Amino acid sequence: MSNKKKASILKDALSLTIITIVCSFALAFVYEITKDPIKAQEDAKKNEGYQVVYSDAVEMVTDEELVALAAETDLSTLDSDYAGVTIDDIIQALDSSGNKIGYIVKSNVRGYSSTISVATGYSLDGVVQGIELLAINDTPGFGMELTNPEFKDRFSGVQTDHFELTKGSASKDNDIDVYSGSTVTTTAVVNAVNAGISFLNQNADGIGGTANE
Amino acid sequence: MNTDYLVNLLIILISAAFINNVILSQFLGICPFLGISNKIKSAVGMGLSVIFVITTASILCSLIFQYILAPMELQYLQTIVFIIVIAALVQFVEMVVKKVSPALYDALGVYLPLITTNCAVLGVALLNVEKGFDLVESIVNGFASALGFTISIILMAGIRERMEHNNIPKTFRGFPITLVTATLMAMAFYGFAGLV
Amino acid sequence: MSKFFKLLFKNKYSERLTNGLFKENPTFVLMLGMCPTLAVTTSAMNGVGMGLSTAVVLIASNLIIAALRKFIPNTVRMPYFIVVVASMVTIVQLLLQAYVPSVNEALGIYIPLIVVNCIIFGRVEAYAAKNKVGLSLFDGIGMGLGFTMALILIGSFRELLGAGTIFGLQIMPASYEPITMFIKPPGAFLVLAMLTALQNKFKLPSATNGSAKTSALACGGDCASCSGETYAANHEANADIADSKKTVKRNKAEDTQRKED
Repeated sequence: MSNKKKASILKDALSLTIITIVCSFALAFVYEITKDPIKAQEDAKKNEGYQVVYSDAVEMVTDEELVALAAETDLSTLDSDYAGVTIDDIIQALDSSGNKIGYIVKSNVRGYSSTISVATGYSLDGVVQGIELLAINDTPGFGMELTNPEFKDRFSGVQTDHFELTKGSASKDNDIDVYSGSTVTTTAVVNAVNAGISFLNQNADGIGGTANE
Repeated sequence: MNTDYLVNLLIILISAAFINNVILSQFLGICPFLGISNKIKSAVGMGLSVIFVITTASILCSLIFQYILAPMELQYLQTIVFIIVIAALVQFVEMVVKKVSPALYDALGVYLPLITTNCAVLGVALLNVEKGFDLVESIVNGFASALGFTISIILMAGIRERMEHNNIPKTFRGFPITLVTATLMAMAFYGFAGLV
Repeated sequence: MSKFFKLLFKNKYSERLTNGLFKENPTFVLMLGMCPTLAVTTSAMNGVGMGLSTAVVLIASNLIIAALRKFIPNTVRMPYFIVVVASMVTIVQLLLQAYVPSVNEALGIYIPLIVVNCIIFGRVEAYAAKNKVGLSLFDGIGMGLGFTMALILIGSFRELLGAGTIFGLQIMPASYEPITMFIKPPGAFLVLAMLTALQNKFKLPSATNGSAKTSALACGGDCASCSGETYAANHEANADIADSKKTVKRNKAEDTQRKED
């Protein structure tokens, strides 16, 4: 009796193991096939975002050196506000004749319910060309307000190395009003942009010393 | 830095429990919300079981993801691994509780088998990964989400118990009035969005 | 025409299709899979994405389980189903990420959550595990399309009222001020409330008013009241009545708290 029971447990376990292995192989197979298209899709989306934040850029080249440097740098040493911000991509923006005209920096920051990726275009003379939120999944209707062009346009064309958060009293070019109901998200985005441009100001060739105040 | 982290945890707690309430704004676990909310007693039982299972599942899934799946670059297996872990966990908890504390099993045991297919459990585990939470954050998020679930289901049960003696238009009796109640609750919870 | 319908209902394969689409429509009649139904129907397009993804998972799982039904040991059939369904969901998710990323982005976490959609487990357990491959295939197609159709209908309705569009096309006159609430969470509950109220009113078959046959499904079919309600209710019948007094007290305490809120 107990032998029979044992045998049936073994049989059950064996058949479960087999189906699991078969399924794993099927999954691995599909994963291998889809890996490259998924990567390509993600890149395409990223590049689209990059083009938006630096419309003058004709060609974009990843700056491997700065990316590696950014990975090592603890951004909170630049400013304690930048704790939790990471930079994972830095691109040189080139004009049609191949001269470097500025940088695009992609910084990630924790919003109020998810990670937000912000791309910032920054020219050599310290003018923000534009920002784009590459990935934002915050509460629909709240943090999402930040995807409005109106909010993003506040950054474009401003020559600064630091944006200030204000509460409804934005007067200077580099003041950004907090969206009510999205305080955490607005702060996060502004910190991400600030961290990106201050990193460039510190480390990138050809930028620095052009702060407007 | 340390206080920042605590504030961060507090934000996760509040947003998971109230603002992104699993039921009223994310629609996870609708079935038990509508099904078991006719008596406060069963709502409490269900709620407590869910708190226990989701918190434990958050810990396990977070550990598995961080120390097994992510280092081996097997993130795409997360769905299948998580659901198996959750199913096994629920089964295991049921067996242990039955053996160790029959009284507790009497109180909560009936709800345990139903939790495997409660999408809130898998949903929270997946959200923890998607939002890049570390272990502590995952635990807080899991606990708070389950707390949010419990709060809404108990509130719903309270309202339904009182409505039992009301004269509801025939067309709306049963399911429809429950959903109208849920609508109003969802609106109320929507107000929490300004908190953070 | 009536000949056509007769043929449609007579043939056991096409009968499976009409069964899923109309007679036992998983959303409108069986009230299964309420979570995705409420969560992703903010637009008609989302309804299409969610519906078709679920349909593909259901069809594939039905096929596999029906093909393997003689080899699956009864004792471990649930883990078996879980493994198969979860694999199918992951495959669908990978394919979506690779070839239709916009759908994957719009539906987000609700794609992996197809795993716990009661429609899938319900059909796999109640139908595919007991029937031939061909029939199970058509059952999957019927149920999948029925679910898709329901999601598109609800999605269109919410999108029309909430944004004035259907599939992104402007339908309402420009002067129409969209009732944004309909694409927000409360709107989802409200639409479903109205739907079930109409079913009550016209006595349409639906699990919510107890007029639909639900026993065909393993979980009892009725998602809304399945969650062990009867099971739990029986259990409670043994509890002594003294408890109910406590409940009333707690009720009052909660009430005052609500008032303060």
